Amino acid sequence: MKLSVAAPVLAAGLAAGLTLPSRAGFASGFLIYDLSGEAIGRASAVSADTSEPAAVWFNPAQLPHQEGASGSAGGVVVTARSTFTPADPSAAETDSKRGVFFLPTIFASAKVSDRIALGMGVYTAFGIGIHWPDDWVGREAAIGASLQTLAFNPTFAIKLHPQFSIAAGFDAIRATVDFQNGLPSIVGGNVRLVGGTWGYGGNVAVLYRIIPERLHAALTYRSRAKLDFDGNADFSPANPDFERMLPDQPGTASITLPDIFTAGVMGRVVPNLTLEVDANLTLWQTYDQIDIRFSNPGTPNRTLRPNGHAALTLRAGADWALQRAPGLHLRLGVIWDGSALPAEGVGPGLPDSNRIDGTVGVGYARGMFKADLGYMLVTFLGADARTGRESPEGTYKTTAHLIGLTLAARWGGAGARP
Amino acid sequence: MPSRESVAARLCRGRATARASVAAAAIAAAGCTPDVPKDPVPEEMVYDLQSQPPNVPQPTVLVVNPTTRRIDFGQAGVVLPPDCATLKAPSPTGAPQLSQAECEFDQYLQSLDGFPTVTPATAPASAALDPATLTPGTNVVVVNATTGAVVPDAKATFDATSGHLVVRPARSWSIGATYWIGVRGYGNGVRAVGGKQVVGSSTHALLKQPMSLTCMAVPPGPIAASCPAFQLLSQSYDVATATQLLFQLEPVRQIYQASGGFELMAAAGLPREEVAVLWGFPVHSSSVAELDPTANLVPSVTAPNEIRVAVQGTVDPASVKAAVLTQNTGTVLLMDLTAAATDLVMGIPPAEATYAAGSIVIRTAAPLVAGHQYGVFMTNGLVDAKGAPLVPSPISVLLSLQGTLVDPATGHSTISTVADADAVQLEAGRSQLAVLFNDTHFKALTGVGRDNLVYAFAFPLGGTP
Repeated sequence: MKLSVAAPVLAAGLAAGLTLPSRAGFASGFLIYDLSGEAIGRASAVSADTSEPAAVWFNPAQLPHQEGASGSAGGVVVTARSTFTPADPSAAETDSKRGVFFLPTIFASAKVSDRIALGMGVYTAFGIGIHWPDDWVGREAAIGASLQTLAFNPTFAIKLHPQFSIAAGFDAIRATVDFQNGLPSIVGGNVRLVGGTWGYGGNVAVLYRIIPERLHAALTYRSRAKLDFDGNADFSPANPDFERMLPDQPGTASITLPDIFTAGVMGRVVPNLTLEVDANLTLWQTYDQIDIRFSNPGTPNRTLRPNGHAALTLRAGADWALQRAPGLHLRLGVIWDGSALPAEGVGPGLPDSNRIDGTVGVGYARGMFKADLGYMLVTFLGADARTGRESPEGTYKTTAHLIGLTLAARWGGAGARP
Repeated sequence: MPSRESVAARLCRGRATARASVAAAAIAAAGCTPDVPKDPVPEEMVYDLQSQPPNVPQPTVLVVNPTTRRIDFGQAGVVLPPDCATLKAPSPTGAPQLSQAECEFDQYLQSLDGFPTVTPATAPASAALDPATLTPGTNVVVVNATTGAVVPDAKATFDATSGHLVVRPARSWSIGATYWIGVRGYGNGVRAVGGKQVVGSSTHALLKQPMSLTCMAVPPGPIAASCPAFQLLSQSYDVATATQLLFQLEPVRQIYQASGGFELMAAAGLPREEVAVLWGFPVHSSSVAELDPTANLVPSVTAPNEIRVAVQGTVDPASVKAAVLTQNTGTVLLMDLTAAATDLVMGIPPAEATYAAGSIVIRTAAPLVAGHQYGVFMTNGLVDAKGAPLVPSPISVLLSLQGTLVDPATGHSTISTVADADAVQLEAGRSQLAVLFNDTHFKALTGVGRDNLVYAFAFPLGGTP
């Protein structure tokens, strides 16, 4: 049994490592919460009920309630574009370059006894990816911003009671950054900052099956993880008089990924209709200040002050299992996603705002195999940058589309839930 | 055994070897940090107003008081005490302080409306400059702003000891003139010895800006957050410090703009964008008996009983009178210092002094004695055609200072603008002459003292002094 777990886990590590995804975050801040095709269709309101191995991410306490061993592989294609409208009505709008990102996710889980399950996830839960024209008005704030993460998340879960289970996991997060912004107008030119690091965190979860398969409640916590980047800065000042002040050199910066609390309640009023509401509280206070330090004492350090604050996300999703077509599921969801940043912290690298998302999805299970497809439309309600501190004054508007496809298989047990 | 990072880096570049560890492979596969190039750093012509003392090209118009039109080190924040002798005592706070000699010398400079005619112009550089690239008129351009003409015969060298570019005129700077010196840098200009490009400094880049660094804000501010120079400095400093620095820099920039220095350079074929450093300075307007052994500006023996001292500027011939013992009416004193060593009176040979063909001419009644040490002294009783007294030459001042030119503890020069080796040579002469100037009878006998001296030089009479 252990071998059957090890194989999918190893496969997950190798396959996900082939490419490191890049995308803008589509929950609050730069959190990417929607990691599977099934979950996307249900607005990712699945913490209290999912039969996927992606429960490693959403709520690993569900793993002891899943049968046998399972693995899933998939990806989410994201495309997004932002538009900046300057406060000065005489100035022209600027569109960011449309980004298209592919986000692979791989999960595996297996029960090693009746009460104990192990799981492994390799996924991207945080990321930024945006690129503006080189000569745009906000070039000194950002031309390009890329934060890529890849989390390795081994998980242990135990069923303490037929109705109650708990889980704990460890996150090892590989992260790279690649930021480019314009230098002050007197200097001209650009600076590109690249770096990589590992960060570590953990997660715990509980699941209370109040009325098994009818009414569940869940609570999860995923810890912050500090990313201390070591990297290099490539300064390309247009004015050569600043070349000695701004030599290419090593640099450091720290970003702390936020704590995430999730609470969810699932109700199955009728056997083939699952309804769930989830709430995420993401403590973006950890994204308060970013100090970029350079090794050359003559090079000015840079401090970004996004002043992140706690953000609440409310999710409501439904899964309808069609009785006339066994194995076929139709899904629907809606999300209200609060901004992680105040107006003074909004910048072109992360033009965050309140969002309303609509989701639809479809899934089909046959035998040991299962396929899920989800689509999410993310509508940003407009982010006002009012102070000119982290961005030129104006309003950012973003629209994004997510399409997720997940293929899963289950060995042993009762197979995928029809 | 390669390190984990280096193996990971090789994996990222697709050059992993079979020996790469599994751990390294996992790291590399998880996400490679992008490579960025590391460009060579050029050398620069230094312009640092914040160091103490400021490390900037000298002499500089920046220390000329716009009200008094005289040199005033208070413009650079250096206030000289009225009595330099007080500097003999250690600073009560233990902080470094001016030497007595430097204080005295600076007081002399502050008495002038421009810099001495024999002052070399210097500019610090971050590395030794290739002498072959220090081409006068092309890469090192000297313009007489008063006439607008390029100085064709200036000489540019690099002093490796001090790390300074040194620019000298063929003979001396013209009195009353203002000079601007520009150094061409970047791709087509001077190069460091290793061949690296030489650029301007970031401070100098701000001084080149055609627009106000404060966006027309006046002290105490505030300066608009959108002001480009403020945006730049506020990345390095807090708001108050950035504001203060810009209010210090802006007057300097205005001096550069008002002087037309960049325009003079452009007219001479050195456009603003190729100027790595630019500086200017006025030369005092008073006549001066010039003295600079390095430029061969020394008394010349033109006959067995005749010595001539060149003067730049006009001289009222009526003010040229040889000193006569005890009468104190003379303005020119010739001393046989060898004879004076045994008898001061015998050391003052009978002589007459006149002015002819741009020189003070001293003729003795008897021929000068070969092998003797002679001293020539002049007082500020010498006046120009308008009746203004001649001003001292700087070496004369150095030779007559009360403070020592060499720190006995360290052996270094006590004056920042005098090199150690020069200070040692000058100190030998100063200490000998100090015996005379400290002798209360000397002033009474000759009328020459530290307070009225404009020329002092001693030399052995051999062939050429």
